[in-house]
Amino acid sequence: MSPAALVGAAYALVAVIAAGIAMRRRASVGAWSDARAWALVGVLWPFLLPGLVAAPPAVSRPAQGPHAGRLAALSSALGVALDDPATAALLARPRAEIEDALQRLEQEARRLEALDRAIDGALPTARPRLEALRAKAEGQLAERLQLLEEVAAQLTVLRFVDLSAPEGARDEKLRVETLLAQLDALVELGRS
Amino acid sequence: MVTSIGPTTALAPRGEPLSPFVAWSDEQRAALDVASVDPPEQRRSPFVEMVTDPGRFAARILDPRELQAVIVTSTAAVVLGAGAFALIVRMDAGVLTAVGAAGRLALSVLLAIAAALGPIHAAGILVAARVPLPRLVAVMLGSNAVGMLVLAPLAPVVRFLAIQDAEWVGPLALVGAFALAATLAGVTLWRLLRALAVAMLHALGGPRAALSESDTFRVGIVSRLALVFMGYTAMLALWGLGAFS
Repeated sequence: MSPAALVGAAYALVAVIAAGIAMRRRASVGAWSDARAWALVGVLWPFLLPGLVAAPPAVSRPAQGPHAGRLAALSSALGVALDDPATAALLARPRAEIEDALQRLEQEARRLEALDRAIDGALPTARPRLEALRAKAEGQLAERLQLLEEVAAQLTVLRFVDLSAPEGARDEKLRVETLLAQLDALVELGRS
Repeated sequence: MVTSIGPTTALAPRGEPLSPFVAWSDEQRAALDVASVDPPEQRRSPFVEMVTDPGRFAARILDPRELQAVIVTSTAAVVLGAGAFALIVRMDAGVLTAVGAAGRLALSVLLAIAAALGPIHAAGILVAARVPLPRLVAVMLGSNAVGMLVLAPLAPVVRFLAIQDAEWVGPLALVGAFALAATLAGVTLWRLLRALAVAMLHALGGPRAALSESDTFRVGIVSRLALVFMGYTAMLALWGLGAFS
Protein backbone atom coordinates (compact mmCIF):
# COMPACT_ATOMS: atom_id res chain seq x y z
CA MET A 1 0.00 0.00 0.00
CA SER A 2 1.48 3.37 -0.96
CA PRO A 3 2.04 6.06 1.70
CA ALA A 4 -0.69 8.23 0.18
CA ALA A 5 -3.17 5.36 0.35
CA LEU A 6 -2.20 4.70 3.98
CA VAL A 7 -2.75 8.34 4.87
CA GLY A 8 -6.06 8.30 3.03
CA ALA A 9 -7.17 5.18 4.86
CA ALA A 10 -6.20 6.69 8.24
CA TYR A 11 -8.11 9.88 7.39
CA ALA A 12 -11.17 7.87 6.40
CA LEU A 13 -11.02 5.83 9.60
CA VAL A 14 -10.90 8.94 11.78
CA ALA A 15 -13.67 10.46 9.64
CA VAL A 16 -15.94 7.51 10.43
CA ILE A 17 -15.16 7.82 14.15
CA ALA A 18 -15.82 11.57 14.05
CA ALA A 19 -19.15 11.06 12.28
CA GLY A 20 -20.07 8.51 14.94
CA ILE A 21 -19.24 10.98 17.73
CA ALA A 22 -21.31 13.66 15.99
CA MET A 23 -24.25 11.27 15.63
CA ARG A 24 -24.07 10.26 19.29
CA ARG A 25 -24.01 13.89 20.46
CA ARG A 26 -26.66 14.85 17.89
CA ALA A 27 -24.33 17.63 16.77
CA SER A 28 -25.50 20.44 14.54
CA VAL A 29 -23.54 22.44 12.01
CA GLY A 30 -25.20 25.73 11.20
CA ALA A 31 -28.83 25.01 10.30
CA TRP A 32 -28.23 21.26 9.79
CA SER A 33 -28.74 18.91 12.70
CA ASP A 34 -29.18 15.60 10.91
CA ALA A 35 -27.12 13.11 8.91
CA ARG A 36 -25.83 15.91 6.66
CA ALA A 37 -24.23 17.64 9.64
CA TRP A 38 -22.69 14.37 10.88
CA ALA A 39 -21.32 13.58 7.39
CA LEU A 40 -19.84 17.07 7.21
CA VAL A 41 -18.17 16.56 10.58
CA GLY A 42 -16.73 13.31 9.23
CA VAL A 43 -15.37 14.91 6.07
CA LEU A 44 -13.94 18.00 7.81
CA TRP A 45 -13.00 16.35 11.10
CA PRO A 46 -9.65 18.21 11.57
CA PHE A 47 -11.60 21.46 11.77
CA LEU A 48 -14.99 20.48 13.19
CA LEU A 49 -14.09 17.76 15.69
CA PRO A 50 -12.32 20.10 18.21
CA GLY A 51 -15.42 22.28 18.40
CA LEU A 52 -17.67 19.26 18.77
CA VAL A 53 -15.62 17.71 21.53
CA ALA A 54 -14.96 20.96 23.37
CA ALA A 55 -18.44 22.49 23.15
CA PRO A 56 -20.49 22.45 26.37
CA PRO A 57 -23.86 20.67 26.34
CA ALA A 58 -26.61 22.88 24.90
CA VAL A 59 -28.68 23.05 28.10
CA SER A 60 -25.92 24.59 30.14
CA ARG A 61 -24.48 27.24 27.85
CA PRO A 62 -22.66 29.59 30.19
CA ALA A 63 -24.03 33.08 30.46
CA GLN A 64 -21.99 35.87 28.98
CA GLY A 65 -22.01 39.49 29.93
CA PRO A 66 -20.76 41.40 32.96
CA HIS A 67 -22.07 38.88 35.53
CA ALA A 68 -20.52 35.82 33.91
CA GLY A 69 -17.22 36.17 35.75
CA ARG A 70 -18.89 36.54 39.14
CA LEU A 71 -21.19 33.59 38.48
CA ALA A 72 -18.27 31.39 37.46
CA ALA A 73 -16.27 32.35 40.56
CA LEU A 74 -19.33 31.81 42.78
CA SER A 75 -19.99 28.38 41.26
CA SER A 76 -16.40 27.37 41.87
CA ALA A 77 -16.37 28.65 45.49
CA LEU A 78 -19.69 26.97 46.33
CA GLY A 79 -18.54 23.72 44.79
CA VAL A 80 -15.34 23.68 46.86
CA ALA A 81 -17.17 24.61 50.07
CA LEU A 82 -19.99 22.07 49.63
CA ASP A 83 -17.55 19.30 48.69
CA ASP A 84 -16.19 19.44 52.24
CA PRO A 85 -18.22 16.80 54.15
CA ALA A 86 -17.87 18.69 57.45
CA THR A 87 -19.46 21.81 56.00
CA ALA A 88 -22.22 19.90 54.27
CA ALA A 89 -23.07 18.12 57.53
CA LEU A 90 -23.43 21.42 59.42
CA LEU A 91 -25.96 22.84 56.99
CA ALA A 92 -29.64 22.33 57.70
CA ARG A 93 -30.41 22.34 53.98
CA PRO A 94 -29.59 19.78 51.32
CA ARG A 95 -26.85 20.69 48.84
CA ALA A 96 -29.34 20.56 45.98
CA GLU A 97 -31.18 23.64 47.30
CA ILE A 98 -28.05 25.78 47.16
CA GLU A 99 -27.18 24.47 43.70
CA ASP A 100 -30.75 25.25 42.56
CA ALA A 101 -30.32 28.82 43.82
CA LEU A 102 -27.15 29.13 41.72
CA GLN A 103 -28.85 27.73 38.63
CA ARG A 104 -31.71 30.22 39.06
CA LEU A 105 -29.15 33.04 39.10
CA GLU A 106 -27.57 31.73 35.89
CA GLN A 107 -31.01 31.62 34.27
CA GLU A 108 -31.63 35.20 35.34
CA ALA A 109 -28.29 36.28 33.85
CA ARG A 110 -29.21 34.61 30.55
CA ARG A 111 -32.61 36.30 30.67
CA LEU A 112 -30.85 39.65 31.11
CA GLU A 113 -28.73 38.96 28.03
CA ALA A 114 -31.89 38.17 26.04
CA LEU A 115 -33.46 41.38 27.33
CA ASP A 116 -30.38 43.34 26.19
CA ARG A 117 -30.71 41.89 22.71
CA ALA A 118 -34.43 42.68 22.68
CA ILE A 119 -33.74 46.29 23.71
CA ASP A 120 -31.24 46.65 20.84
CA GLY A 121 -33.86 45.67 18.29
CA ALA A 122 -36.91 47.20 20.00
CA LEU A 123 -39.23 49.86 18.65
CA PRO A 124 -38.67 53.33 20.17
CA THR A 125 -42.02 53.20 22.01
CA ALA A 126 -41.19 49.91 23.72
CA ARG A 127 -37.62 50.76 24.63
CA PRO A 128 -38.26 52.81 27.83
CA ARG A 129 -40.42 50.06 29.31
CA LEU A 130 -37.91 47.36 28.40
CA GLU A 131 -35.09 49.40 29.89
CA ALA A 132 -37.08 49.85 33.14
CA LEU A 133 -37.62 46.06 33.24
CA ARG A 134 -33.93 45.54 32.62
CA ALA A 135 -32.90 47.91 35.42
CA LYS A 136 -35.24 46.12 37.85
CA ALA A 137 -34.03 42.66 36.77
CA GLU A 138 -30.37 43.70 37.02
CA GLY A 139 -30.95 45.11 40.52
CA GLN A 140 -32.59 41.85 41.63
CA LEU A 141 -29.81 39.76 40.11
CA ALA A 142 -27.10 41.87 41.74
CA GLU A 143 -28.82 41.58 45.14
CA ARG A 144 -29.22 37.80 44.93
CA LEU A 145 -25.70 37.39 43.58
CA GLN A 146 -24.34 39.33 46.54
CA LEU A 147 -26.34 37.22 48.99
CA LEU A 148 -25.13 33.97 47.46
CA GLU A 149 -21.55 35.25 47.45
CA GLU A 150 -21.92 35.98 51.15
CA VAL A 151 -23.25 32.43 51.62
CA ALA A 152 -20.21 31.05 49.79
CA ALA A 153 -17.90 33.18 51.93
CA GLN A 154 -19.57 32.01 55.15
CA LEU A 155 -19.39 28.37 54.04
CA THR A 156 -15.69 28.83 53.36
CA VAL A 157 -15.23 30.28 56.85
CA LEU A 158 -17.20 27.36 58.31
CA ARG A 159 -14.65 24.97 56.83
CA PHE A 160 -11.89 26.47 58.94
CA VAL A 161 -13.71 27.47 62.14
CA ASP A 162 -12.49 25.42 65.07
CA LEU A 163 -15.40 23.02 65.44
CA SER A 164 -14.27 22.08 68.94
CA ALA A 165 -15.49 25.53 69.95
CA PRO A 166 -19.23 25.10 69.40
CA GLU A 167 -20.00 28.82 69.86
CA GLY A 168 -17.98 29.82 66.80
CA ALA A 169 -19.48 27.16 64.53
CA ARG A 170 -23.05 27.91 65.73
CA ASP A 171 -22.75 31.63 64.94
CA GLU A 172 -21.42 30.93 61.46
CA LYS A 173 -24.16 28.36 60.88
CA LEU A 174 -26.82 30.83 61.95
CA ARG A 175 -25.38 33.44 59.63
CA VAL A 176 -25.52 31.05 56.64
CA GLU A 177 -29.11 30.02 57.43
CA THR A 178 -30.13 33.70 57.76
CA LEU A 179 -28.59 34.53 54.39
CA LEU A 180 -30.32 31.59 52.71
CA ALA A 181 -33.64 32.64 54.25
CA GLN A 182 -33.13 36.17 52.88
CA LEU A 183 -32.43 34.71 49.45
CA ASP A 184 -35.61 32.60 49.58
CA ALA A 185 -37.63 35.67 50.57
CA LEU A 186 -36.19 37.64 47.65
CA VAL A 187 -37.05 34.85 45.23
CA GLU A 188 -40.63 34.67 46.53
CA LEU A 189 -40.95 38.44 46.24
CA GLY A 190 -39.75 38.25 42.67
CA ARG A 191 -42.32 35.57 41.82
CA SER A 192 -45.29 37.48 43.33
CA MET B 1 -58.94 64.83 1.69
CA VAL B 2 -57.91 67.34 -0.90
CA THR B 3 -57.14 70.78 0.41
CA SER B 4 -56.70 73.56 -2.06
CA ILE B 5 -53.66 75.62 -1.27
CA GLY B 6 -52.48 78.74 -2.99
CA PRO B 7 -49.18 78.44 -4.88
CA THR B 8 -47.32 80.82 -2.53
CA THR B 9 -48.10 78.64 0.52
CA ALA B 10 -47.52 75.21 -1.04
CA LEU B 11 -44.96 73.93 1.42
CA ALA B 12 -44.64 70.51 3.08
CA PRO B 13 -44.27 70.54 6.91
CA ARG B 14 -40.48 70.29 6.55
CA GLY B 15 -40.39 73.36 4.33
CA GLU B 16 -39.76 71.50 1.07
CA PRO B 17 -41.37 73.31 -1.85
CA LEU B 18 -44.28 71.49 -3.50
CA SER B 19 -45.49 71.89 -7.05
CA PRO B 20 -47.77 74.92 -7.30
CA PHE B 21 -49.66 73.29 -10.16
CA VAL B 22 -51.04 70.46 -8.03
CA ALA B 23 -53.53 70.49 -5.18
CA TRP B 24 -51.93 68.47 -2.37
CA SER B 25 -53.98 66.42 0.07
CA ASP B 26 -53.15 66.34 3.78
CA GLU B 27 -51.89 62.81 3.35
CA GLN B 28 -49.51 63.76 0.57
CA ARG B 29 -48.23 66.73 2.55
CA ALA B 30 -47.41 64.56 5.61
CA ALA B 31 -43.70 64.47 6.43
CA LEU B 32 -41.87 61.36 5.37
CA ASP B 33 -40.47 59.51 8.39
CA VAL B 34 -37.06 58.67 7.02
CA ALA B 35 -36.12 56.52 9.99
CA SER B 36 -38.98 54.10 9.32
CA VAL B 37 -37.91 53.34 5.76
CA ASP B 38 -34.30 52.61 6.65
CA PRO B 39 -33.70 48.90 6.27
CA PRO B 40 -33.06 47.04 9.51
CA GLU B 41 -29.44 46.30 10.23
CA GLN B 42 -28.55 43.22 8.28
CA ARG B 43 -25.91 40.75 9.27
CA ARG B 44 -22.89 41.11 7.08
CA SER B 45 -20.90 38.28 5.59
CA PRO B 46 -18.30 36.92 8.04
CA PHE B 47 -15.53 37.70 5.50
CA VAL B 48 -16.58 41.34 5.37
CA GLU B 49 -16.65 41.45 9.16
CA MET B 50 -13.21 39.85 9.43
CA VAL B 51 -11.69 42.66 7.42
CA THR B 52 -13.82 45.66 8.44
CA ASP B 53 -14.86 44.83 12.02
CA PRO B 54 -12.75 42.04 13.58
CA GLY B 55 -14.30 42.76 17.00
CA ARG B 56 -17.77 41.86 15.77
CA PHE B 57 -16.48 38.71 14.08
CA ALA B 58 -14.66 37.67 17.27
CA ALA B 59 -17.86 38.20 19.30
CA ARG B 60 -19.71 36.09 16.73
CA ILE B 61 -17.43 33.07 17.10
CA LEU B 62 -17.85 33.03 20.89
CA ASP B 63 -21.21 31.36 20.18
CA PRO B 64 -20.58 27.62 19.48
CA ARG B 65 -23.34 27.41 16.85
CA GLU B 66 -22.00 30.40 14.90
CA LEU B 67 -18.50 28.99 15.29
CA GLN B 68 -19.31 25.79 13.42
CA ALA B 69 -21.06 27.71 10.64
CA VAL B 70 -18.05 30.04 10.27
CA ILE B 71 -15.67 27.07 10.09
CA VAL B 72 -17.66 25.41 7.31
CA THR B 73 -18.08 28.67 5.36
CA SER B 74 -14.40 29.51 5.66
CA THR B 75 -13.37 26.02 4.53
CA ALA B 76 -15.59 26.36 1.48
CA ALA B 77 -14.10 29.79 0.73
CA VAL B 78 -10.53 28.44 0.99
CA VAL B 79 -11.29 25.54 -1.34
CA LEU B 80 -13.12 27.70 -3.89
CA GLY B 81 -10.59 30.56 -3.82
CA ALA B 82 -7.50 28.37 -4.08
CA GLY B 83 -9.15 26.07 -6.61
CA ALA B 84 -10.25 28.93 -8.84
CA PHE B 85 -6.78 30.48 -8.80
CA ALA B 86 -4.97 27.28 -9.75
CA LEU B 87 -7.60 26.34 -12.35
CA ILE B 88 -7.23 29.63 -14.20
CA VAL B 89 -3.43 29.84 -13.98
CA ARG B 90 -2.88 26.24 -15.13
CA MET B 91 -5.54 26.21 -17.84
CA ASP B 92 -2.81 26.42 -20.49
CA ALA B 93 -1.69 22.90 -19.60
CA GLY B 94 -5.09 21.35 -20.27
CA VAL B 95 -8.34 20.96 -18.37
CA LEU B 96 -7.41 17.79 -16.50
CA THR B 97 -4.09 19.24 -15.37
CA ALA B 98 -5.81 22.46 -14.32
CA VAL B 99 -8.44 20.60 -12.28
CA GLY B 100 -5.70 18.50 -10.67
CA ALA B 101 -3.74 21.64 -9.82
CA ALA B 102 -6.88 23.22 -8.32
CA GLY B 103 -7.42 20.22 -6.08
CA ARG B 104 -3.77 20.08 -5.02
CA LEU B 105 -3.59 23.79 -4.18
CA ALA B 106 -6.81 23.67 -2.13
CA LEU B 107 -5.56 20.56 -0.33
CA SER B 108 -2.17 22.22 0.29
CA VAL B 109 -3.77 25.19 2.04
CA LEU B 110 -6.06 23.01 4.16
CA LEU B 111 -3.17 20.71 5.10
CA ALA B 112 -1.03 23.69 6.05
CA ILE B 113 -3.78 25.07 8.30
CA ALA B 114 -4.41 21.69 9.94
CA ALA B 115 -0.69 21.13 10.51
CA ALA B 116 -0.18 24.58 12.06
CA LEU B 117 -3.05 24.27 14.57
CA GLY B 118 -1.24 21.97 16.99
CA PRO B 119 2.01 23.98 17.30
CA ILE B 120 0.13 27.28 17.65
CA HIS B 121 -2.13 25.84 20.36
CA ALA B 122 0.92 24.41 22.16
CA ALA B 123 2.78 27.73 21.90
CA GLY B 124 -0.23 29.48 23.40
CA ILE B 125 -0.15 27.08 26.37
CA LEU B 126 3.58 27.74 26.87
CA VAL B 127 3.12 31.53 27.11
CA ALA B 128 -0.06 31.26 29.25
CA ALA B 129 -2.20 32.54 26.36
CA ARG B 130 -3.99 29.36 25.36
CA VAL B 131 -6.44 29.91 22.51
CA PRO B 132 -9.31 27.38 22.70
CA LEU B 133 -8.83 25.02 19.77
CA PRO B 134 -12.26 25.50 18.14
CA ARG B 135 -11.83 29.29 18.08
CA LEU B 136 -8.25 28.94 16.84
CA VAL B 137 -9.58 26.79 13.97
CA ALA B 138 -12.16 29.46 13.10
CA VAL B 139 -9.57 32.27 13.18
CA MET B 140 -7.01 30.33 11.10
CA LEU B 141 -9.57 29.24 8.51
CA GLY B 142 -11.16 32.69 8.40
CA SER B 143 -7.89 34.54 7.84
CA ASN B 144 -6.79 32.07 5.17
CA ALA B 145 -10.20 32.35 3.52
CA VAL B 146 -9.65 36.11 3.25
CA GLY B 147 -6.26 35.41 1.66
CA MET B 148 -7.70 32.96 -0.85
CA LEU B 149 -10.57 35.29 -1.74
CA VAL B 150 -7.96 37.95 -2.55
CA LEU B 151 -5.81 35.44 -4.48
CA ALA B 152 -8.54 34.18 -6.81
CA PRO B 153 -9.16 37.47 -8.70
CA LEU B 154 -5.40 37.80 -9.34
CA ALA B 155 -5.41 34.62 -11.44
CA PRO B 156 -6.19 36.32 -14.79
CA VAL B 157 -3.40 38.85 -14.18
CA VAL B 158 -0.89 36.09 -13.43
CA ARG B 159 -2.02 34.09 -16.46
CA PHE B 160 -1.75 37.11 -18.74
CA LEU B 161 1.73 37.98 -17.51
CA ALA B 162 2.82 34.33 -17.83
CA ILE B 163 1.70 34.32 -21.45
CA GLN B 164 3.71 37.49 -22.10
CA ASP B 165 6.88 36.18 -20.47
CA ALA B 166 6.96 32.66 -19.09
CA GLU B 167 10.57 32.90 -17.83
CA TRP B 168 10.67 35.91 -15.53
CA VAL B 169 7.51 38.01 -15.35
CA GLY B 170 5.11 35.05 -15.12
CA PRO B 171 6.80 33.32 -12.17
CA LEU B 172 7.40 36.66 -10.43
CA ALA B 173 3.73 37.50 -10.84
CA LEU B 174 2.80 34.11 -9.37
CA VAL B 175 5.06 34.68 -6.36
CA GLY B 176 3.75 38.24 -6.01
CA ALA B 177 0.14 37.08 -5.99
CA PHE B 178 0.87 34.57 -3.23
CA ALA B 179 2.86 37.19 -1.31
CA LEU B 180 -0.03 39.65 -1.44
CA ALA B 181 -2.57 37.03 -0.36
CA ALA B 182 -0.28 35.83 2.43
CA THR B 183 0.26 39.40 3.67
CA LEU B 184 -3.46 40.08 3.85
CA ALA B 185 -4.13 36.73 5.50
CA GLY B 186 -1.38 37.41 8.03
CA VAL B 187 -2.67 40.88 8.90
CA THR B 188 -6.20 39.45 9.29
CA LEU B 189 -4.91 36.65 11.53
CA TRP B 190 -3.09 39.16 13.74
CA ARG B 191 -6.14 41.40 14.07
CA LEU B 192 -8.51 38.50 14.69
CA LEU B 193 -6.40 37.01 17.50
CA ARG B 194 -6.26 40.34 19.27
CA ALA B 195 -9.99 40.94 18.67
CA LEU B 196 -10.73 37.48 20.11
CA ALA B 197 -8.85 38.30 23.32
CA VAL B 198 -10.68 41.62 23.62
CA ALA B 199 -14.07 40.04 22.89
CA MET B 200 -13.56 37.43 25.61
CA LEU B 201 -12.53 40.18 28.03
CA HIS B 202 -15.65 42.20 27.20
CA ALA B 203 -17.84 39.14 27.59
CA LEU B 204 -16.52 38.53 31.11
CA GLY B 205 -15.72 42.00 32.37
CA GLY B 206 -18.03 44.35 30.52
CA PRO B 207 -17.45 46.63 27.52
CA ARG B 208 -15.01 48.89 29.35
CA ALA B 209 -12.51 46.17 30.21
CA ALA B 210 -9.15 46.49 28.45
CA LEU B 211 -6.24 44.14 27.84
CA SER B 212 -3.41 44.57 30.31
CA GLU B 213 0.15 45.16 29.09
CA SER B 214 1.05 41.57 29.95
CA ASP B 215 -1.99 40.21 28.08
CA THR B 216 -1.20 42.34 25.03
CA PHE B 217 2.41 41.13 25.04
CA ARG B 218 1.40 37.46 25.20
CA VAL B 219 -1.31 37.87 22.55
CA GLY B 220 1.41 39.43 20.35
CA ILE B 221 3.69 36.42 20.90
CA VAL B 222 0.93 33.98 19.95
CA SER B 223 0.10 36.04 16.85
CA ARG B 224 3.75 36.11 15.70
CA LEU B 225 4.16 32.38 16.29
CA ALA B 226 0.93 31.73 14.40
CA LEU B 227 2.31 33.61 11.39
CA VAL B 228 5.60 31.72 11.55
CA PHE B 229 4.01 28.28 11.85
CA MET B 230 1.44 29.01 9.15
CA GLY B 231 4.13 30.23 6.78
CA TYR B 232 6.29 27.19 7.45
CA THR B 233 3.52 24.61 6.99
CA ALA B 234 2.22 26.43 3.89
CA MET B 235 5.68 26.36 2.35
CA LEU B 236 6.04 22.64 3.03
CA ALA B 237 2.55 21.81 1.76
CA LEU B 238 2.91 23.83 -1.45
CA TRP B 239 6.32 22.31 -2.13
CA GLY B 240 5.20 18.79 -1.23
CA LEU B 241 2.00 18.66 -3.25
CA GLY B 242 3.37 20.73 -6.12
CA ALA B 243 0.26 22.37 -7.52
CA PHE B 244 2.31 24.40 -9.97
CA SER B 245 5.00 21.89 -10.94
